[in-house]
Formats: sequence, C-alpha cells, structure tokens
Amino acid sequence: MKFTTLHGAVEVFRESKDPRAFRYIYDSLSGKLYYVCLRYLKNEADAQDVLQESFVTAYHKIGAFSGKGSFEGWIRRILVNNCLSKLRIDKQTFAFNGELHNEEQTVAEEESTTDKEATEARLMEALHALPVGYRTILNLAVLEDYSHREIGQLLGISESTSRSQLTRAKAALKDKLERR
Amino acid sequence: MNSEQNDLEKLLKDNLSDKTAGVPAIVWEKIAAEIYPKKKRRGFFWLFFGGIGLLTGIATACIVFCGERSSAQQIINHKAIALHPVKPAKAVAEQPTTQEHPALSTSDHRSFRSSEKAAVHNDFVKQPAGKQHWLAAAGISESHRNPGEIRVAQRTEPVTNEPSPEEQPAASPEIVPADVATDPEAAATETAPANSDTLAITADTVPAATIASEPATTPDKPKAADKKWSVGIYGGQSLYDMAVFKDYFTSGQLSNRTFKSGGFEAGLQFGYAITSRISVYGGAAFNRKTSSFRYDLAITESDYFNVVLPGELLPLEQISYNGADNCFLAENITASYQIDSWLLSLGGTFDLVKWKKFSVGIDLRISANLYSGLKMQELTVIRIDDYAAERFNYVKPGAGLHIDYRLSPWISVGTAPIYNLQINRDDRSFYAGNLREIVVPLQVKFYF
Repeated sequence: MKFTTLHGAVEVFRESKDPRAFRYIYDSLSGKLYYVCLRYLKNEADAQDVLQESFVTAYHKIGAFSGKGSFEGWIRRILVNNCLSKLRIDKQTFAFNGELHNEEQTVAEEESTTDKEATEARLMEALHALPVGYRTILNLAVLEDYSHREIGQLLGISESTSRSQLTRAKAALKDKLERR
Repeated sequence: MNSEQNDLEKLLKDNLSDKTAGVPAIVWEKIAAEIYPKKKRRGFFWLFFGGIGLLTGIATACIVFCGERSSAQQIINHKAIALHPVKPAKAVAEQPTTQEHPALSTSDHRSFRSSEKAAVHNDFVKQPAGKQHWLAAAGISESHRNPGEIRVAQRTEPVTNEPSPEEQPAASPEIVPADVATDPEAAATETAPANSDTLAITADTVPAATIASEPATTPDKPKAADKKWSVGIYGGQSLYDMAVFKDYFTSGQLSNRTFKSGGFEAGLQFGYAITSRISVYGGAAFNRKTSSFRYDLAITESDYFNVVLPGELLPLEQISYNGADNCFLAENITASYQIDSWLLSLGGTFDLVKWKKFSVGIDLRISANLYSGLKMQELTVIRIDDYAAERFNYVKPGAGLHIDYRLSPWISVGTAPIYNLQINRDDRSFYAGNLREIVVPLQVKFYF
C-alpha cells in the first residue's frame, strides 16, 4: 500500500491501525519530533526515549484523536508532555522568582563544528546552556506557541510567573549568545 | 527592549522551529518491539501446533482407553467360560442323537454337539458373551476359536436341550446327509490345530456328521459401527464479517461506501472413528472470498497526479473538483477483489446425540493456509497501475456443529456449520487483522 500524504496515512491508521500507515506516520514526523525532544532534553538517549514513548502512546491512544485537528499537533503535545515529565519540571523549578537553578549552567565545552557556522548550532548550544526552567519556557512559549495560560496549566505555575520567566529566559539567552 | 526580544524570538523561530534531526534506527526498532511484540507471532504458531498436539493427545488417549476395554472384555469372556464347566457324560446322555467323535471322548473327555453350523466359528470371536457361553458349554476350547481351524459337523436331528433362541445362531437351512461328500471348498479351509490339545474336527474324522455348505460363505449384514474410516466431501457458503478492502489511494477520503461479499469453501476430509462417538479427521479445503465495493473517492492533488494520471484512465465526467479540502472527487468507483486460500485442517467430532439414523455433535477444527492470495478482479472509474496479487498467511481455529443422517452403513449426508476466527498477524499485508467467518456446508461421507 502506498501512502502519499500524512493525512491519508493517519486516516487509515485511525480506521484500521494499519502497521504500514503507522510506519509512514513515523517516517514523516519522527525527525521533526526528535528535534523537538533535543531542544528540551539535550541528552540524546533521553530524547530517543521520549520519542519512542510518544509514538507508542499515540499508537495506543489513537482513538482519542478526533481527526478534526492536526495529527502532528496532537502527537507533538504528547511529546511535549513526555519531555516535561522527563525533565521533572514542577513548581520548584520556578520557586525562586528570578533566582535560577544553576545546575544546568555547565555548557558543553566542546566547540560545535566551526565549519558549520550555523546560527542554529549556536542557538541550540545557548539554549542548552540555559537552566531547565528557562529552556522549557522558551521552548513552550516561543517555539511551540503555547499561551501563558496553557504553560501555566502544564507547569503548574501562574500565568504571571510564566510571563516573567519568559522575559528572564530571553534575557538569559541573549546574554549567552552575546558571550559566545 | 521589546524589539530586541522580538528579534530574538524571530531568530529562535527561524532557526529552531520545524527543523528535523536524524533519528537512529534503534528508536523504530524499540517502538516496533513494543507495539508488535514477537510473542504474539509465536502465539500464532503455538496456537496451531498446540491444537494439533491436543488432538493427537485426545486420539492417543482414546485409543489406549479403548484397547484396555477390549482386554477387559476378553478376560470377562474367559471367566464366563470357566464358570460353565463341561460335563461330558451328561452332555452325551442328554444328546443321544449327537455324533460323538472318538477323539472327544477319549483324549479330551469332552462331548461335542454337532448341531451347530460351521459358520459359527468364523465369527466366534465377535459373538456376544452369551453365545460364547453356550459354545463353551458345548465343549469347544479357546484354542479352537480361530476361524478356519475347525469344521464343525452338522447334526441331522434336533437336540432336546437346545439353548434359548436368542443364544443360538440361526440354523442352517441346508442340511445334507451324513455320507455326502465334503464340500471341497470348505474342506480346503481346514487347517491343523495349533497344538496337540486342540481338537481338530473335520468332515473326515466325523463321518456321521453332515457338512454345512452355505453358512460359511453367507456374508454378515454390515454394521455402521464396524466402519471406522471415512472420506467426506463438503462444500457450502462462507459468510464473513469483514470487508476485504484494499485502498490504493490510502487517503481515507472515502464516502458513500457500500460493499457486497460472498464466498464458499469446499474440501475433503479423511476421518477415523476412535469410539462410537469420537472421531478425528484431517483434510484439505479451498476457500474463496469475493468482495465488491462501491464508493466515492476524494482524491488529493498528490494522489491525482501520482496515482491516477499514470493509470491513464481519466473519466473526467466522473471526477469533479468538488471534494472536500480541494480534492478531486471520483464517484461510483467499483472495486472487486477475490481472495483464494488453500487450507489444511485437523479436527475432531464428538457425537452428543444419536437417535436412530441421526447424529448431532460438536466439531472442533484448526486450519492453516498453505497459500492465500488476493487479486483485483474489477476496478471502474479509475485505474491503478500496480495492483499485484498479495500473499499472506493465517490460521483459523473453529468450532461448530455437525448433523448427519446415515443413509446406509456406507454413506451419510448432513451439514456441519462451523464458526472460524481467522487470525492473521502478517504486518506486511494489508490483510492484517482478524476475520470472523461462518461456513455452512453440505457434507457427504463415505464409510469403509
């Protein structure tokens, strides 16, 4: 069976759990979702675990997907939730308003491949250098377009905390980028 | 400050959004191992071979059990004989017309009643206990009970102490004088006794006796219970609950879908009756399913140019641009498929009710396919370039009833509706999934 669109594969998978449809979905989305995992988690092994866990959840919970919205958006939410679970982010992460947990300050010493000169690499490196709370807020608010209300619900913090943390996260990222 | 932050946001989005990273192959392997555990596949085969083992075990147990019962019956017969000792003098005295053979009175001290037909010996082993008792009382030892060892002479006059009618074999209608020559054919069947104690009573040693010529060759009336082996031919409709549908477009934008399905199964079964109620059988069958779908198909732009166009057939009058989400809509597509399977089956039947010539029982069966293939028979409106036949494997355990009417000892007719669960775990096939099926065949069985 040939699948030519993600939508088609998702529909077939929803109806019959066709393994090949699921494989097509995996092939279509895994790269993108793996990148999302790497943005949150830094550690590749953790990222692979979360990716695996998210696809397995999607496989078993496909009935919960109504089919009206975007499947990618649906599985991405599963993935983000799994990333947050992996990070064990809770209120304590943001308990000290303005005081960041510095255990994540250690930046990988190895220089990224210089020949790339890619802003992407610099950004990713700077992002990974941020404390987990800031990195998560940036990921959610800027890269995933979650509202502060949604972030508040996800992380168990208030909207105002989310806003202030985002401001600080941006400042911290800017600082990291300027230092490099 | 705000513009700086916005620039930073833009920088992040431009560089880190919608990017991909190469995923190690191990991730998919782990996912596949979790959602398609191999254990299930092993279960698939265990189910088949477990079923075969179970049936073999039942068959073995039944054979052993029946063998023990036969031995026990023989012991009972021996005891019955021992409980009725022969009284030669009395027997001779009470049977004045009986021709006494010298050998009987001198060597064995046994009397011999010459009134019974020779054919009795041929069936001796099979006779009921009562009859054996009567013959034992007549003084015929166990060692004489092999067919052909003895020709028993027939007396010309009735005896006074006949056993009860139900114990006696039917008297031969043909009685010949004592001095008539022995039937050469019958004489040719005579053999020497196995040992010296055995009485060898032949026409020559009993000159006064008469020889029955016919009873030895008269065939017994055949009994249904004696026929252990059977060959059955069956065929009938197959009804199944899942539409076998192959969607080459895979888009899922089907609407107004209706389908018709039909099928049949025909096969041959070789059976063996372990007991009067339990039989086992093995066989081969051919099963065909046909499915015909009619539906509207919303073809995405991608499908339209990649799948429909290469197919060359573009009936534009039936493809309109009014599908949802800017799809082309092909209406009233008909697609017909045919799935053929060759099956091997093993099973067992157990008769619950036997009434006159009817028998009703349960039928347990497990089948596995030797070959199954799907072919597209018809596709209208659109044309698909590549619809090569697919092959796949499945196993189907089943349970059902059988109702038979025995027309004669050699033949029976009946029906044996059976409910099957067709299990297919072949991930590579679109045909993956379970299918429930009822086959309602007519069956003719020949027994021998």
